[in-house]
Amino acid sequence: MIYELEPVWISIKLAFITTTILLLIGAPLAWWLANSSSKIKPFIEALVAMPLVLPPTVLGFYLLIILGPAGKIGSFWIDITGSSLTFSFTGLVIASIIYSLPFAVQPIQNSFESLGKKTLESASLLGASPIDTFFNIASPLSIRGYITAAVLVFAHTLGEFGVVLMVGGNIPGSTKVISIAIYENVETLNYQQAHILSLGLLIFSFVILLTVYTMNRKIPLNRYR
Amino acid sequence: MIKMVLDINLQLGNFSLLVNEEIQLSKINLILGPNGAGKTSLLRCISGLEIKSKGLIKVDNTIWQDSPLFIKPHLRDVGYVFQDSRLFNNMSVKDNLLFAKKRALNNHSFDLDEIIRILELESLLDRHPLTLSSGEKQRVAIARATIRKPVVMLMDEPLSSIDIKRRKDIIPYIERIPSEYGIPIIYVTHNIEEVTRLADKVITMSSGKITSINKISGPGISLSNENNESSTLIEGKIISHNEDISKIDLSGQFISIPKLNLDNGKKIRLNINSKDVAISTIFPKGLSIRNVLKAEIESINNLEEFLVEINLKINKKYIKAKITKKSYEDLSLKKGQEVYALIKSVSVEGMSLI
Repeated sequence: MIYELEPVWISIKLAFITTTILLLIGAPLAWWLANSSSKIKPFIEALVAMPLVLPPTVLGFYLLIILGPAGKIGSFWIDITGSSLTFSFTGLVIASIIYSLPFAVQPIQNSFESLGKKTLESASLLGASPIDTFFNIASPLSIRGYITAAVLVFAHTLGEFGVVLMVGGNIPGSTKVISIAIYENVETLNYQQAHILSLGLLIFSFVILLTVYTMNRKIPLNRYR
Repeated sequence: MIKMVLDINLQLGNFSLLVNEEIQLSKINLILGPNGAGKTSLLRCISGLEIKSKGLIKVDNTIWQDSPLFIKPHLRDVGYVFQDSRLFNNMSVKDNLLFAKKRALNNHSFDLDEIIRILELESLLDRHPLTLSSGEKQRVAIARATIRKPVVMLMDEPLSSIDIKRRKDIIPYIERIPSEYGIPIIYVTHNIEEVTRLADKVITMSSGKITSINKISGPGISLSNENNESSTLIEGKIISHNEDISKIDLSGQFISIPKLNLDNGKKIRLNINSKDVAISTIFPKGLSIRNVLKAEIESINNLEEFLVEINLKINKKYIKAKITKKSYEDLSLKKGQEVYALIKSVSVEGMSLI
């Protein structure tokens, strides 16, 4: 039975790590996108949104090349750690971060933008530097954006299949996540096991989303009028 | 009070703000002008919110801008009260005040309890900004901007979001900032009552330029509103009271107004509408108007086809009279002529008198 539950644990670990890292990267990036009038802003926005439109196989293919032993990042990783990034859990984390980036950046960016310039001006005229404003005014007022981002990233990572398959393969105990395990069980006509994992994922996802949407209703909209 | 040196050039699309002025600030300095005159833009330039502005901004001996040098707004020692209070809704009233106090420049700030006492905020401290009325919000916003002990306070129509009936309640709090703390205010408004009540100095602007700067204690400030009504704001001094009359000194001549509950020697601002001033070439007799002042015609301006505006010099002060062209011609008035100004009505701080 332990063997069958292992993919569940790997999926949750992957989703948790990805969500944490993406909130740390996504929030400053969203802040910059929300406030910048730089010429390169549209390029960055388009890059961030790419995973939304590309088939996971395209993303997975290029990640496989870059992270693989012949790729720049892959060979550098082998030089310093001695092990390969592709078909490893670390490689999966990197792939998930890139694949779920828009799900982290866009909700937070929308929240920041809905605060409007007025709030930021008001903070700056009370002596708050932009970084101070980011941490103490904009982020607390955008808590709904953060929660939405975290949930979307978490759920999206749990549900990813194509990128995971291409970059991580199917190594039990390392890269075999729930979606891969389900696929494998179906392929081998092990429907009972596929049922257990599928239904578990379905219920788990629903409960998470339900909790978040219920919580969100209770947090007042902190918008300025 | 401090001196402000401004040499500002701001281009925003079709609008351009060009200000080159040295202003010795009085306690409350009002900026008046029609919409689009650049009043708010000027405040934004001074505070550092307009990053596109070029030029020099010097407050006392501190340089805030001397392009390309540009001190960021959070490092300028300025207080700013917006039309909308812009309180932070993620914290209580008290935390809003503490937010500003903690970030005061060079750690010089006012005592929290003192600010709370002066602006009477005790009962609001634990409230959330969303639960406050617009008047309460603005009082908190004023306290929050004051607590950081700025060298100058900028206020952009701070009363416009407040119910007309409630505005009078906020004005005393605004007056306390220069009088209790010595912080001068630059105050943008449209409202003539706020002008009569608050102004020590009036700066008028039009199409991006400063057109005049006048002090209330000087010869008088001429005002006009959007209905083309004009009036003059002058300062007088109460010299005596009897049963129901207060006698006011207007640079050596006197007018009587219904008794004011103020001490002798106190200065008051009188707003005299140009339509309420009539002219007589001889000392009038048998008139119900009691306030007759000797005056000299300083200048004559033609207004519309049937109206003339006469600028009258009363010793060191000026008032204006608006009369019909017909009477102007009948009396054959000339520049420099000695006449009598008949004042039908004056108002003090928005209260209509006589």
